[in-house]
Amino acid sequence: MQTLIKVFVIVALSVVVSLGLYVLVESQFSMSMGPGGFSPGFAFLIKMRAQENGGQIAPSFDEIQASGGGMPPFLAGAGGGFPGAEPTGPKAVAIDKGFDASAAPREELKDLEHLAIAAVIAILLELVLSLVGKARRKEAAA
Amino acid sequence: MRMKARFILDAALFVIYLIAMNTDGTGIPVHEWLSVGVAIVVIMHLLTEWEWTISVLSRFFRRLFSLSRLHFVVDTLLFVVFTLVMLSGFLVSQSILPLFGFSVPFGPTWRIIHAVSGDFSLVVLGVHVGLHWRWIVSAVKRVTAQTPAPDSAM
Ligand code: HEM
Repeated sequence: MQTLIKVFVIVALSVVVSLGLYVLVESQFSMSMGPGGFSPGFAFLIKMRAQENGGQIAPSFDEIQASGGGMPPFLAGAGGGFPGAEPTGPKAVAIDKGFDASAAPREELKDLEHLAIAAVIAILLELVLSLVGKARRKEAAA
Repeated sequence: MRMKARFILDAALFVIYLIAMNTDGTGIPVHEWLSVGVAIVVIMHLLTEWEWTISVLSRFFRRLFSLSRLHFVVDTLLFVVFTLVMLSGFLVSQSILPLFGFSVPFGPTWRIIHAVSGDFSLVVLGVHVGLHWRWIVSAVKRVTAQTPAPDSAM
C-alpha cells in the first residue's frame, strides 16, 4: 500500500511537471509567430539542433515550409542548405526527415562522448567538494 | 533493497537507456516500447531513493552539506529532463499511440524538443552517475567480491 502511494506521488509529480513543460514549450517555442516568421524560441531550437547534430535537423523541410516560416538568418549563411538548395560545404544545413544514415553511428558516439565528459567533470567536482567538506568539518571540530 | 539488487537495477536502467536512445539501431517501435520500460524502471529507481529524497528535501533550506544539495539539484534536473523526453516522445509517437487509435498532430517543435532533450538527458545522466561514483565503486566491489565457496559435502 505504501509503495502504491509512493508510485502515485511520483506519477502525479511527473504529470504536473509535464503540464508545466507543455505550456512552456507551446508558449515559447512554437514554430510560427504568424505569417512569415519563426518564433525566436523555434529559431533557437533549430539552431541548437543543427549545432549538435552536424547540421542536420530531424523534422522534414516540408513540415517547416508548410507553416509558412521564413528562412532564419542563421541558416541563410549556412552553405546554402536551407530552404531550397542541396546542402553544400561543411557547414551545410540539411533539413530532412531522419538522419543521413552514414552520419548516424558517429552521432551516437558523440552522445556517449558527452555522457563520459559530463561524468568525468562530475567525479572531479565530487572529489573537490568532499575534500572541502572534510576540511570544513575538521576546522569546525578544532 | 540490498545494495547488490539496487546496483543490478541501476546498471540495467543505464544500459536499457543507452539502447533505447539509439533509434537508428532499434527502429521506432522498439524505441518507444523500450522507453516505456525505462520509465517503469525509473519509477522503481526513485522508490529505492525515496527515503534519501525525503530526508534531503526536509533539510534543503536548512544547513545542509553542499554535496547533498548538489545531488538533489542534479537529480531534480534529471527528473524534469526525463519527463520532457517522455512527454515529447508521446507527442511525436509513431507507434504506441497510433496502436491505441490516437493520432498526434504535433509538429516539428516537439520533434526537435524530443531530439534535443534526449541528447541533453545523456549529459545530465553522466553528471548524475559521476556524482555517485563512490557508491558505484563500492557496489561493483561488493558484486564482484568472491563469496567463500560453500563446503561441497553433499
Ligand atoms: C527514455 C526516454 C526517451 C529517450 C531518451 C528518447 C530519445 C530519442 C532520440 C535520441 C531520438 C532520435 C531523435 C533524433 O535525433 O531525430 C528519438 C526519436 C524518436 N522517439 Fe524517443 N526517446 C524516449 C522516449 C520516447 C517515447 C516514450 C516515445 C513515444 C511513445 C518516443 C518516440 C520517438 C519517435 C517517434 C522518434 C522519431 C522522431 C522523429 O523522427 O523525429 N520516444 N527519441
